[in-house]
Amino acid sequence: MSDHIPNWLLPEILCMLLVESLLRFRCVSKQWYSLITSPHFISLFTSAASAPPLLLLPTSPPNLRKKKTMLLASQEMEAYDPERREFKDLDIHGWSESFFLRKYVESLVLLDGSSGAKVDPSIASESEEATEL
Amino acid sequence: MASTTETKQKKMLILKSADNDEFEIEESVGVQSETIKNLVEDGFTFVPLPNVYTKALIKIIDYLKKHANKTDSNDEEIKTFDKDFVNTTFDDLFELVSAANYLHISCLMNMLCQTIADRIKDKSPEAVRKIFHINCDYTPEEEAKIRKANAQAFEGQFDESLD
Repeated sequence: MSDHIPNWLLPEILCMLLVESLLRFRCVSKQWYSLITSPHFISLFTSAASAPPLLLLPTSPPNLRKKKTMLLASQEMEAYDPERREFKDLDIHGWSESFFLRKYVESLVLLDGSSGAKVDPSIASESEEATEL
Repeated sequence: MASTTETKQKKMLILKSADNDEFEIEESVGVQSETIKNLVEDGFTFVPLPNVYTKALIKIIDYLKKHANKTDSNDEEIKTFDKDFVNTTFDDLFELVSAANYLHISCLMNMLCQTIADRIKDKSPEAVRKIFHINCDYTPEEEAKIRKANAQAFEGQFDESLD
């Protein structure tokens, strides 16, 4: 009898966690890290009924890029100023390589720091930084 | 008399576990599982479940029986049953979630996944590794780098217990 959970079942469980736990659990193993930062998991996570709508953007916004860190934010997307390509008034409550926004507004799905183009999260996570430890 | 007729009319199914134990259940109870429902629709009354072991199957049959008798009045009773159902070890929960997934019982799947998530959410990464039987494959340097990059996610005390 196996008491190990099949790998393909893990996302079902992890998508019910809060962001705070997921950030911590990225250091459980390399497999968990790549699962939690994968486009598939991110879309599963954002669509999970129990989770608040969250958007994981695995790249930094332009004005934060230098810091090589990203932030965990809970604020409406209006905080993004498309003219200046900057975030303002973010309620920052955590730092990570990725940041999260509580409200998902499609018109503001960014964020490729180099081009400023709108990037789908599934594409964004394929960027260099997302795979970097 | 009426009840005798009813009993006779009840269609029964045999479920066979991975360790070859057989269980007879009412079809109406079994079809809450999409996997069983599909087989029943194809005319099967004998259902081998090569991925579900006896221990898990007994619990799942209990669950299906309880939930098949759901009415407006026994809501509290079912809630209590569910609470008791998930009050078990992580290894049992993992076994059950695999079985529920194979059997496609979505309400049970959701309940089990939510239970596991709730029970690990405040755990330390070390405790999670032990619970999930994972060997850490990071070098100490790699792990330190991740922790440093996510420093705030590691502030405070985390639950080190394994239950």
